[in-house]
Amino acid sequence: MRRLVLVATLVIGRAGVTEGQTVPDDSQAAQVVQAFRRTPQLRIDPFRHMLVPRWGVVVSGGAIAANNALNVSDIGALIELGDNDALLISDLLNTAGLVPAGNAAIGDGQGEGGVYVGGPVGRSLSLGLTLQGRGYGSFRMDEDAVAMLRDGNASQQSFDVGETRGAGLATAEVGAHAVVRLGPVGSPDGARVSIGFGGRYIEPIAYAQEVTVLRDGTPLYVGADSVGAALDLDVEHTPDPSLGSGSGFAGDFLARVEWPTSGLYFEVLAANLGKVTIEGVERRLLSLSLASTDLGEIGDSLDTAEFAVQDTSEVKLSLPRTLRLSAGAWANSYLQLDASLSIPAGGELDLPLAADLWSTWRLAPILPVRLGLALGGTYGIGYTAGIGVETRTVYVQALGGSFGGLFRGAKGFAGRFEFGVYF
Amino acid sequence: MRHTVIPAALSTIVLIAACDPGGVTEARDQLARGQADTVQYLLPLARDTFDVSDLALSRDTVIDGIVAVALAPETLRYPIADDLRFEGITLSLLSVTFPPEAFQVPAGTPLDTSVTYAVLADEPRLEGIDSLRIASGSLDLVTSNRLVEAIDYSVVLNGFRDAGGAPLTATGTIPAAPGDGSYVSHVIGFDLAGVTVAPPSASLTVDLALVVSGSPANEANATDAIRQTGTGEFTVDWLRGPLDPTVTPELTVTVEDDVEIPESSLDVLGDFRDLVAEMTLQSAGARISFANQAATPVEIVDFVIGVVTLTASGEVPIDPETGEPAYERDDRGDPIVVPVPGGGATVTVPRTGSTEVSVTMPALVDRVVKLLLAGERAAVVGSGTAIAGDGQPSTLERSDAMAVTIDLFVGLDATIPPEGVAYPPENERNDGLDLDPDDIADVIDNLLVRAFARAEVTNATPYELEVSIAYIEGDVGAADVFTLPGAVILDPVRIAAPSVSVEGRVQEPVVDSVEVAVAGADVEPLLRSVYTTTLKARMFGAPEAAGRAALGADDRAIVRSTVVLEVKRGGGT
Repeated sequence: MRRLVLVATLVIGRAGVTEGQTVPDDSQAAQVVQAFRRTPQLRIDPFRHMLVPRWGVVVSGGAIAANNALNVSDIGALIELGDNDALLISDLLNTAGLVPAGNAAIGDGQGEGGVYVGGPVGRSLSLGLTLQGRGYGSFRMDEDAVAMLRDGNASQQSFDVGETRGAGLATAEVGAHAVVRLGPVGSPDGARVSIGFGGRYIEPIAYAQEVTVLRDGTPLYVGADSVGAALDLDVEHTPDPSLGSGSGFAGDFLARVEWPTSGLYFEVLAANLGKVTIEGVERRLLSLSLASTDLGEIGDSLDTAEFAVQDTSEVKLSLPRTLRLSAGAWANSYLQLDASLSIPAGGELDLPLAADLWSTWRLAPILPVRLGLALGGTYGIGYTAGIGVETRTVYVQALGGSFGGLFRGAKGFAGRFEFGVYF
Repeated sequence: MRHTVIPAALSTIVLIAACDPGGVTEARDQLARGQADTVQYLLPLARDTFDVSDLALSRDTVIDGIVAVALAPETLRYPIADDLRFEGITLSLLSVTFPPEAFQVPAGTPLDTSVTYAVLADEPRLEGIDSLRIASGSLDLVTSNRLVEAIDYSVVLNGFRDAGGAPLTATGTIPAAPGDGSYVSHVIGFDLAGVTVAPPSASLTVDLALVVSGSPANEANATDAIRQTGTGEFTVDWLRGPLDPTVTPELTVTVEDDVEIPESSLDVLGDFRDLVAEMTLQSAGARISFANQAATPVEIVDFVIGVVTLTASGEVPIDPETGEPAYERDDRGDPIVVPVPGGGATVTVPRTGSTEVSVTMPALVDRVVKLLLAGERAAVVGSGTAIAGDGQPSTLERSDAMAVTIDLFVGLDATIPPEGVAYPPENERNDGLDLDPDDIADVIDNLLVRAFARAEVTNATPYELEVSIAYIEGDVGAADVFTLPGAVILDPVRIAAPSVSVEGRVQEPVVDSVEVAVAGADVEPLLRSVYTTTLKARMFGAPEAAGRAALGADDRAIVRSTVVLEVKRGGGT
């Protein structure tokens, strides 16, 4: 990190001072193989392979998912108890108690898999085509709704469910992206600027969303002798998942400034700027109006409540937009440090705010080992690691992450595998 | 909603990574890894509201802010003109005097004369009557003669018209008198039935005819030679005119009637019946409605209501000493008789209108209620004087009556006995949590830290309340759970009475909460599918009011009883 600060200071201090080369071509930083300076991400990255200056084909897939309550052992325990038909009230109560006090129960995930074909066209342009499937999912049970079970109804009888919802979207995408490389600017060791843009044609495959809304804003009342609820459970879904259920377009943008000889870059990425129209979405509504002092009546009402099909229509959905700010530095070919901050920028499906720190170790130049930390999200601190094979013709990348703990104590996981051939 | 791809990937990862937790016990320990804490859940136990509706009253009402129970109204009927009798009617006295020279004519000379006079001029009772029709009655016209000649005469009663509209007429002959000054009379009787009389225009025309005999005795008897007068009496069908009871005393009639209060009218007390039997009623009375059918105002004077115990045959017993109804007597031996409206006031009822008065008569109503509760036949007797007319043009018909409706009410202002009054027990069928047996055992054996019942009472009655609750698994219908084997009987809780005014009215409700411990095993009925509770309440008078309290219209006690389960969460097992 100290090196990063030093290099940044030098860059700032030298900006606009001289047009001559000040860093020799044989500097340690300049010895790093440029093709793989852009560190792979576990999260969405439409320009993932675009900066490799060779033509190639990469097949890749990955997923990242986490929640804020249950770790792997918890889930295993629930499965064990369920399999043995031994799930008791105390188990459910204890499980509810695992949601951090005062918090909602939340979870999210993303996944993608596909193939990339692309490479440079001339000195300053790279083109890439992608064909992939992608999925997003998230859920949130409002903290009040969680508290109703977790904290009991002795001290509180009115509960809000205002933020309780769940949603998921699966898509198939065909994308075309281009990166224009400019520079070096001013001097041979000046900044090299990469401007990327592109778009993806999206066909939704499946979509579902459930939103619980308090009618007229009246909170649920679960008192000692009465229960009152006026709830609308609004469910939208595509009954028959398939291609051809609509279309959409998403734009992606990249701006990267890199000083190769100084071993420094800054990058801004904006992804998923677009909407998708999903046709044939069936909307169902379950309206619950309960007001009784008789728990039996409440139970009977719940037993007989049924979703009623409202209509079938199309839904326009804003994709989860992400703005990512990244920076990295390398002083030599052995170590590269990267930091990125992924900021959710709207959209219908929640993506968490997350920061990723990566260190890439190239003790053997073609076998980079990556270690990192992931902060934020729904889980706290996560640990990431990866190993790759980065040769002129073969590219293999395996990344993994354990969030909120390690292995069985993890509340989330991420994994990614990439295999590519370059010509 | 879960994504279609993510769950598959997650599940794979989870299944691989989670491995086998090592069994159910280890799995349970795993889920209990959270921070140790206790959580309280409320379960309903029983709820009841002591208010007017709970008393199952069909005719509740409010008198001066106090809840009152009205007995079925009963009506007394007082005809005020069915026997309006004019007795001792005296016609004006007519005296006919002849001049002496009338007889100084040759014998055989006819002598005729005709006189018309106001025949009712001496009857001021009829001055305020423009017209009347007589239902029955008679009039005797007596014509006397002290002349020595017989006299033929005819009379026409102008203003007295028969059913055909013709004036009443008659003829007669008065025999000759001895001539010594004494009179010989002749009487004509008129049947007045159906005759309409217009007193202001009533007159009598008498035509007299005789043949002079030449007797010298006539000259001495010429003065007041012939006299005519009469008497009569009648009852009327109707009267019209500026009826004025000060002019016509017949417009003042004595009225008395009685009506039995049927035992069934007490059914309105419903479940409160037994409670009333134990109370001493202190705020009770009657709404008395006087409905006047006559087109003349009527003033009710000296009207009193009393209560009697009817004889076995349903007759009003008569006090042999006073000749009046044998009224029930209070502890001092005085008749329970209540003046209406009291204070020496009278009740004026407008023509074809009504007037309502409310009279406090706790002793009378208390006695009525107690007689009925004791299985006796009780009746109220109302008597007084009805005075019709106010000097303004009015009509009074024979069928006119005054209907007096007595609506007895029992204000719930009562002194209750020191041992209190038990409210009828209430059963409630409740749905429990309907847990599986394993879960029930889990809750009781593993989760439960402690349990207690909490009775939250909003006491806006003027009484202290003692609430007892028992519950048992299952639906036992109306059976008293307290008496059933296996019932869980909680310790009774006592809620203080609110502060009350000197009138026994609630000043500020008391909101209180009392907790009693519940054994862990006693929670089990609540966790099953159905349980029944019996809630009993006993009311006690506030000590500072010496046991007396008045139940206001808004007074009520709300008892909400819950069981609080305090269970542990996390912290391992």
